[in-house]
Amino acid sequence: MMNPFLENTLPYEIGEKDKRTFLFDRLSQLEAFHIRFCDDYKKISQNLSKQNLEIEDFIYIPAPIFKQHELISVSKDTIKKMINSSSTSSNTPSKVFFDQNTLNLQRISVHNLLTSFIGAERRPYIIFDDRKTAQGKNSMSARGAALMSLMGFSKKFFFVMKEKNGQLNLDMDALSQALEYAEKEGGFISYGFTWILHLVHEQLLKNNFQFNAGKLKNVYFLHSGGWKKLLDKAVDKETYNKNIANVWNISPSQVVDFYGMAELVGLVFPDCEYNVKHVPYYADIIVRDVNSFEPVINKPGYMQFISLLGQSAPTHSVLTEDIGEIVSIDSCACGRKGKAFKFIGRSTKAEVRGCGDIYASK
Amino acid sequence: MRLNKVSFFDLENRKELSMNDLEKSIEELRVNNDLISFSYEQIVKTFSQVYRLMAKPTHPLYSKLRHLGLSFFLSFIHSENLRHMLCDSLGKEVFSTGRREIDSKRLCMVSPRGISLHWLAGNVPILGLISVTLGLITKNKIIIKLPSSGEDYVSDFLKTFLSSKIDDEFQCVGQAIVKSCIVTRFNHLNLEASNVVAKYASSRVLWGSQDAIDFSSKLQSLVPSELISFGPKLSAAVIDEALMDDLGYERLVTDIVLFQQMACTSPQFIFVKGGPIPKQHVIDGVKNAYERIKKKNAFLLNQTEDSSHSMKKLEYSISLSIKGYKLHSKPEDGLIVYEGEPDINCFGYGHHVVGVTSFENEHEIRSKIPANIQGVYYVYGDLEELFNQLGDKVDRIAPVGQAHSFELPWDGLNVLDKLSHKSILWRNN
Repeated sequence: MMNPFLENTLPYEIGEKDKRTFLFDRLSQLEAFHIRFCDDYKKISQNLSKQNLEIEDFIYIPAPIFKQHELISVSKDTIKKMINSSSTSSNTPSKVFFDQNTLNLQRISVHNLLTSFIGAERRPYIIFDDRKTAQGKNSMSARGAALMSLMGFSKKFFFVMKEKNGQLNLDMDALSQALEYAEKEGGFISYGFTWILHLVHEQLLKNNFQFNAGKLKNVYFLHSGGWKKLLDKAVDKETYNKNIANVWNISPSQVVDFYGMAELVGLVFPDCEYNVKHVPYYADIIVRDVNSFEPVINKPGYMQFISLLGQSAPTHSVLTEDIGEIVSIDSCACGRKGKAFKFIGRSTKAEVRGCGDIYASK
Repeated sequence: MRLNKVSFFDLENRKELSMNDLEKSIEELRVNNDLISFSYEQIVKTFSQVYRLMAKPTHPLYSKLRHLGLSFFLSFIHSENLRHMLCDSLGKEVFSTGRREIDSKRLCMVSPRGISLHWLAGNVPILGLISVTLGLITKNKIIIKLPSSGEDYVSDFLKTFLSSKIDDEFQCVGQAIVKSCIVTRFNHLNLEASNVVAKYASSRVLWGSQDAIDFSSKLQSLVPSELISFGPKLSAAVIDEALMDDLGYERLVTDIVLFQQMACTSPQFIFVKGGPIPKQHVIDGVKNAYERIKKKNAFLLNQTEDSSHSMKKLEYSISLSIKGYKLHSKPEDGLIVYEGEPDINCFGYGHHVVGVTSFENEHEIRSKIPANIQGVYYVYGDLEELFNQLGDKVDRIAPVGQAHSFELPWDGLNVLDKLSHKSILWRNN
C-alpha cells in the first residue's frame, strides 16, 4: 500500500506546483491499484477513462454511487469498519469500507489536519450528542465517525446529551460534570453536529446559561454538518459563531466549522481564521461547472475531492453534490498553501445528506 | 401520530384535516349522488368548457404544464375525444341514454361503480389529471391520493370547474363534480390513512412504482374493488436498421426525449433487427439525430436546468458501467446511449438514457422485452409478425414518431368500462 504522507511535512506547507507533481504520480499509482483490485472500478474505467495528462483528467465517482454500489478494492475479509452516511430523501446510506491500513491513514490525517487548527494537546472532550451515536464496532454513522475523529485530542470524554423517543435532550448534570473537570484541566474541546449545537445553544441562551471559558486555554467548539436548516432560519455563520461564543465567553474564532463526509475518508476541512478551507498536500479539490463538468476557478461548482487516503475503496476521486468555490491558490493570509475554497451549499434538488440529517429534517 | 395529517380540497380551500375529518368526508361522499343525475353529454360539455379555460395562458396550470403535456391533456378532455371514448367503451346508446336495450324484456343499465380511489404518482402530472378525468366522466365519486410530495395540480384542475364565468349548467355540473371529489395528501407510509381511503373504494386506479402499486393494491376494502394498474410501465422501439434513415432516427429520438423521457410512452431502449450486436451506424444514427434535434428544436429536449440533472447522468453512466454495459457516449453528452440487454433498473427517467440491443428474429424480441410494456414504436416491415409476438404483452404498437402523438388520445388509457358497472334490468311484464 502506498504511504501518502511525506516525512516531516506539515499538511499545508507544500505549494500548488510541487503538490501537483507529487499528487499526479501517486494518483496514477492509486488509480492503477483500484483498476486492478476493484472489478467495478475497472468497468467504470473501461467506459469512462481518458488519457490522464492532468489531475483533472482522472475519473471521478459521484458520491451517490456509494449508496447504490459497494465498491471495495481489498479483500472483504480485511474490512474492519464500514461508515454510513444517511440520506433523508432516499433512506439509502452511502457505504464506505475501511481496512486497517485506511483506518490508520484516516486517523493520522484527521489528527494532523485538526492539529493545524486547534493544536495537538489532549484536553477534556465535551460531546454534544448521545453516546449511542458513537457505538458500533463494525459500522458507524458519519456523525459518529466525525465525533470519534476528535478522540485523538481527548484526555477524557463526556457525552452530554441523551436521546429519548427520537429526540436529543441536553443532560445538564453531565454537562456540569464535564465543565467541572474541564475547569480543573484548564481547557476543553467540544464537538456537535451543526444543527444540534444550534438547538442546544438556543436552549442554553433561553435558560440564561453562561460559562466563562474565556479564562481557560485552548477551548474550541468544533461542528460539522449541513447549514440548510440554519440558513432557512436566517442564521448565518457569523451569527452562529457569536451565539455560541456569547454563551461561553470565548471569541467567535474559537467556533470552528469543518466540512467532511464519509466518502472523503480522513479529509476534514476546518475554516481557517479567514473563513476559507484548505486542502492538504495529499489531497486536492477541483471545482467543476454544474452542467459541463469543466474545471472552474473563482466560480461555484460541484466540489470534487482527490485523496491519496482512499485506498481500501475507490474514494480517491469523488465528485460531491455540494457546491463550492476555489477562492485562492497559495495566497491565503493564514499562510496555509495550496488551494483555498469556500463551501457554498448543497446543489439544487440534491438529496439532503450528511451525518445529522435526521435532526436537520425535524 | 406524526404522519396522520392529511390535506384535502373542498369548495373553498385546502385544509389540514385529522383522520376523523377524512373519515367523515368519505362518509359524506358515500351518500353523495349529485353527479349521477347528470347525463354523460352534460358532463362532456362541462369538460369542454374546462378545456377552453385551461387553454388560456391565464389559467394557473397553463404555465405549469405547458411543457409537461398540457396540449396532450387538452386533446384528451376535448369533447370529441371524451364522446369517442365513452361511445367506444359503453356504446353509443348508453352514452345517450345511460342504458342499452338488449331485447323487448331486458335492458342493460350502466352506472358508476361508486367510489373510485385514484392513487397518483408524481412523475407525470398530466397522468394524474387523466386519471381524475376517467373517474369523473364515468360519474364516479373519487378520492384522489396525491403523491406525498410535489405540487398539487389536481386541486387547480378541479377549481376550474368552479369558474363563475360560464353558464348555469356548467356551474351545476361543475359543483357536482367538485363535490364528488376528495383530494388527499399523506405520507405513503401512513397505513391508517391509506386504509381509510381504500375502505369503500369499489375501484382503484393505481399509478406509480411497483412498490406503490403493490402497497396500494393490497389495502383492504369493505367492498369488492376493481384494480386498474397503470404502472410502472415503459416503452421500447423496434427498428429494422435497413429501413432507417435520418428522418426515422429523428422521429425515434424525439419519442425518447419528449417529456424528459418520463412518460410511460417514452422509449427506454431500442431493439434493432440485424443482431447479434447493434451496428455502430445505428448507434451513430441515434446520437447524430440527437445532435440535430438539439440544434434545430432544442425546446423539445426541455431538460430541467437544475444542476442535479448532469450529476444524475453521471450517476447513470457509472451505474451502467458497473453493471457491465458498454457506453457509447460520455455523461456530458445530451443522450446517453448504452449497449446491452434491457435492465429494469437502468432506465433514465428524466435524463435521456437509452439502451440499444439487437435481435435476429421476432421470437427473440418476445423473450427479451421486459414485462409492463406500454408501447412499442416501430420502423419495421413485417408488422403482422411483430404484432403476433408482442400483441399480448403491450398496450399499443405504433410507428416511430407517434409515441406521444396520439391520434386517439385515449389509446392505451381507455378503462371506462372497468370504471362502470353494468346490470340487467328486466322490464315489467
